[in-house]
Amino acid sequence: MKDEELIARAQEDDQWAIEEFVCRYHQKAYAIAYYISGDREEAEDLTQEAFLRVFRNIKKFRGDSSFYTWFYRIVVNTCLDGRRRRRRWEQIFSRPGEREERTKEVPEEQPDMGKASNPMDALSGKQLNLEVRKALMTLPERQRIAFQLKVFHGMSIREIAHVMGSAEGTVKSQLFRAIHSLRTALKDWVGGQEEARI
Amino acid sequence: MKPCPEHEETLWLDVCGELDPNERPAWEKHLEVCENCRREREYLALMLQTVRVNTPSPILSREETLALASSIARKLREERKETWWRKRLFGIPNSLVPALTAACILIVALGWFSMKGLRSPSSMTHLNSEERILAKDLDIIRNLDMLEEMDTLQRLVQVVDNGNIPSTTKQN
Repeated sequence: MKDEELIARAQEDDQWAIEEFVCRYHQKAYAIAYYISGDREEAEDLTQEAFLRVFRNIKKFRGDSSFYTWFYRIVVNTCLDGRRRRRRWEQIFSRPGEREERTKEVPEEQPDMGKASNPMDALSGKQLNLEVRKALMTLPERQRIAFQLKVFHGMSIREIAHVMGSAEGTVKSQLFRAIHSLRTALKDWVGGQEEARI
Repeated sequence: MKPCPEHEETLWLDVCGELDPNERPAWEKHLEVCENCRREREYLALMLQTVRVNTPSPILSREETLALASSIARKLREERKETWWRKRLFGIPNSLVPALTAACILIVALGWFSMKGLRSPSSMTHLNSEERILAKDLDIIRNLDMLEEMDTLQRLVQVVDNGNIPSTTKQN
């Protein structure tokens, strides 16, 4: 079934269409939530909340803009609201030391050792993986979202501006700064790889 | 090695795939002659590729996905049921509930104070002696009209007592 039909059926409260829609688009929403929150469980909660918001408002979608930018906008706003709520909660209930530790947390994926040809490659691959994540997580939140939507989701600057509710110029400067910061943070790693290839 | 500052924005727009097609020929011409810009372009493209490859999207398992989908569908069903129930019971939109609650509280509070005001003058048991005297005076002032009619009543009593009964009774 085409996306347009699915959306039309979801607008009529069709249970099957709602579940099918979640199955089709949960990965995109979950990826955004995960790189904004840096935590699997929180990302799951945020994804669920984002979908609930989407379906609560799906009847209001008239098709004036692209459905995907509308959908992404809800997902990003839900995640930002969720993060804001969580930060406020942490400011009230946690000690300063704990707070700093949490902000430095880097989401860690287990490397697939089977993919590397030898343990040294696997080790350096894992280290590079960690460095990239660390560099991404040190970016300010909005820069990280702009970069993520551009590089991982292949959106144009205009679409990102619409999703984030910012001006195109603002998104451009956020992307520019994000790329600069990543360039500085990863200069040893990316340069090293390049040299190794040559 | 740094890229030409005047071409920096064009450079990263190109790397991000956002370069205006009209600007591309001039930019490519520049790349042919400027090694620094060419190297920086290659480097940034490689860096973005490295970031992309080393940041795989987290994946929810099939079970987790199905659980998520059914949980969302269930929550939506519950919300709709609740909304239907509310509409049926009150026939008012949800957004008006706080305003109506505030209005009800206001009505109850006003009712309470007005009841208190009605009760206070008639019950004098909790008043002290001075207040009682004042309350009695107030009662006299309020019943002044009746006192003015006392004269008429007294005359009527006198007439009855003196036996001046109307002539119709005497004839009987």
